[in-house]
Parts: sequence; C-alpha cells; structure tokens
Amino acid sequence: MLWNSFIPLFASTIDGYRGREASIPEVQETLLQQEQGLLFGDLLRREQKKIYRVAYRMTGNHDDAEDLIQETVLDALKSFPYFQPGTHFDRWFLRILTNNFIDQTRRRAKVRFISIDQQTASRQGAAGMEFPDSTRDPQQVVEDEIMDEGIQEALNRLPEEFRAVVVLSDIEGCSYEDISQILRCPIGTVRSRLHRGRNQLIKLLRGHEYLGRDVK
Amino acid sequence: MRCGKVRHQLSGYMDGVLELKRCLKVDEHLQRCSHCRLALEDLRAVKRLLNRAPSPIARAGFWDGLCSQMGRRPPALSRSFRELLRLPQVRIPALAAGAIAIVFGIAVLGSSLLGGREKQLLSAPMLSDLARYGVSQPLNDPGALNYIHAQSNMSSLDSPVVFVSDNQ
Ligand SMILES: [Zn+2]
Repeated sequence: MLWNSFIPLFASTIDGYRGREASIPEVQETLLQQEQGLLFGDLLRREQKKIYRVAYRMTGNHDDAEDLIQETVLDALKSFPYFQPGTHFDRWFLRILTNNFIDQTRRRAKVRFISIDQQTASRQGAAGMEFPDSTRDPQQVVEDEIMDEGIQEALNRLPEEFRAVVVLSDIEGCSYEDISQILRCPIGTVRSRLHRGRNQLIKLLRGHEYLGRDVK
Repeated sequence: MRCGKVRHQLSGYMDGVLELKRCLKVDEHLQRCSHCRLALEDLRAVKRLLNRAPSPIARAGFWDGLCSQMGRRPPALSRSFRELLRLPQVRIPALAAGAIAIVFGIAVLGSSLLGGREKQLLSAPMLSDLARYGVSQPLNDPGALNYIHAQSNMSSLDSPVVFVSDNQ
C-alpha cells in the first residue's frame, strides 16, 4: 500500500521532467552520493563475514545480529563522509557496531516497529553455521553444534563490555591496541575486561561435561 | 609473587603482552605453583575454544539486500530509509524505486506543502537560470522546485520525508 502511493507520484514526476536537463550542481551532488554509496557498499561487502561474526557473537542470535548490522549501516552511512579512506574500514565499522550493541542492550525495552510475526515472515532463507572442516561425520557436526550453543550461552551471560572485548580478542583475534581503538578505551581497560571476561567464561563453562575435553 | 597477583596477570601473560620483568616473575611463580599452572591451562582452553568456534552465516539475501541500495540511495535519506527497512512489505526490491520516488515526489508534494518556503528561497540568479530552461513558473514545476532545493542547500531530504506515504 505504501508502495502503491509512489506510483502516481513517480509517473507525474517523469512528465514534469520531460524536456528538462538537470542542472550541473544537481548532477554533481547525485554522482557524489552515488559514488560514496558504492564505495561504502564495496567496503561493507569486503568485511561482511567478520562483521556478521562479531554481530552474531555479541547479540547471540541471527535476528538480533541482523538488526544490529542494519542499524549500524544506517549510522555508518551518516558518518561515512568523515571516514578517512585508506584507514581500517573494519575497525571503524566495528566501533559503531560495538557502541550500538552496548547502547542497545542497555535500553533493553526495545521498541519494535513491526511485530515478531511480520518479522519472521519477512526473513526468508536460513541462516547457519560454517564449521572449519566441512567433511566431517554427522555425529561430529551435532556434537560441535551443541558445544557451540553452550559457548554462545556462556558468552550471552557476560556483561556487554566484557563480551565485546572477549569476542574481539578471542574470536576475531584483534590485538589489545585494535580493541582499545575500536572501543576507544585505554589498553589497561581492555586487559582487565578481557581477564575478567575469560575468567567468568571459565566458571560458566566448567560445569559442561561436553567441554571437558577442552576446559578442565 | 603471590598467587592472587599472578592470577591477575595470567591473561596478559598468555597473550604475551606483559613487560619482560613481570613476565619473568610470572614464569618463576608458575615453575613452583601447580594451581596457577592449572588456571593458565583453563585460560588457554577458553581462548582455544573461542578461536575454533564456527562462523555464523547470514541468511541468503541479507547482504545482497543491504548492499543493493548503496549506490542509489543518497546518505541524506537515511532516516526515512530506516523506517522503510522496518516495513516488510516494501523491504528490499521496492526500496530503490521508493527512494527515487521520494526524492522526486518531494518536489511534487512540495508545491502544495512547502510552496511558501520555495518562494522565499527563490533568488534572482535561480530565476534566470530556470528561465534558460524555459521554466517561467518555477513554483508549479516539480523539476524547478527540486532545483531550488539543491541550489539553496535546503536540506529537504532531512525533513521527515516519510509523510509522503501518509499523504495518500
Ligand atoms: Zn600460584
């Protein structure tokens, strides 16, 4: 219904434009915006795996990961004119994403624009997991999936600040310097959050028998 | 060094970020303390577990949908884009055309809703510019209104464009 309302507008606009050239500033502005949009899209595409992994591990599920990324894309587009080409796009984007994540979880009473039903219906196609070794026996796959659920559950129980640091360090392999840039906090803070986050994880995971082979 | 102090540094020790002096002290303590050695093993195990965790994969079409808009939608439209993204019935395929329609449609609607503003913004150089394109009544011409917006740098796109949809 929303879309239908555009059609008459669009048609009348085309009539209005017939026989008129666009002015140079108009064209320049449009080209600049297009160029920026394309560049942003390219950079996003290049880092999409990493971005999705971080969003998923921080939020703990696919739906919230999608929401977080969409929200971050909108915020990042707004500040993209201030992004310095040649610097690390992934760090820049992850900074906005992590801030959004921490903000989001703080104001948990999220107002949703659409109901859960509509949301599920609009999200077609299955999300999934990519295990490093694709040719394993099915039994192993099931075990690994259960194990991963356990790890994610434990991650979900960490305070956001700890979770963000642990995900960036131990899942993404970011250095302390990278993390301090992403979170804009001193390296000492990174070190202590990481230390406390990992120790909380050890406590949470110790009870799981299936983790016995890795955590004593 | 006492166990408590060593435990506090084990994480950094494992990551190799301790300064040499501290590192040697932790080393020395680990030689003779099995409890701290076990704590270090736990830390290594957790780090290994997370490092080996599988990569989540987005549903098919998620990135395509998100990125297909990039080259076409002006960043200034992001606010209305945010609203559109939340509406499943117009999600990805309609968005490109929708964004274009909003940009052009603002001019059409503008003539009735924003007419007063354009009149104020219309300057003499603009009028002569428009005359060269054969536009004698710019306030009735959607193209001309768009031009006036662009020229006067009026951020018409930042105004709540979403009202376009309520108007029908
Ligand atoms: Zn000790």
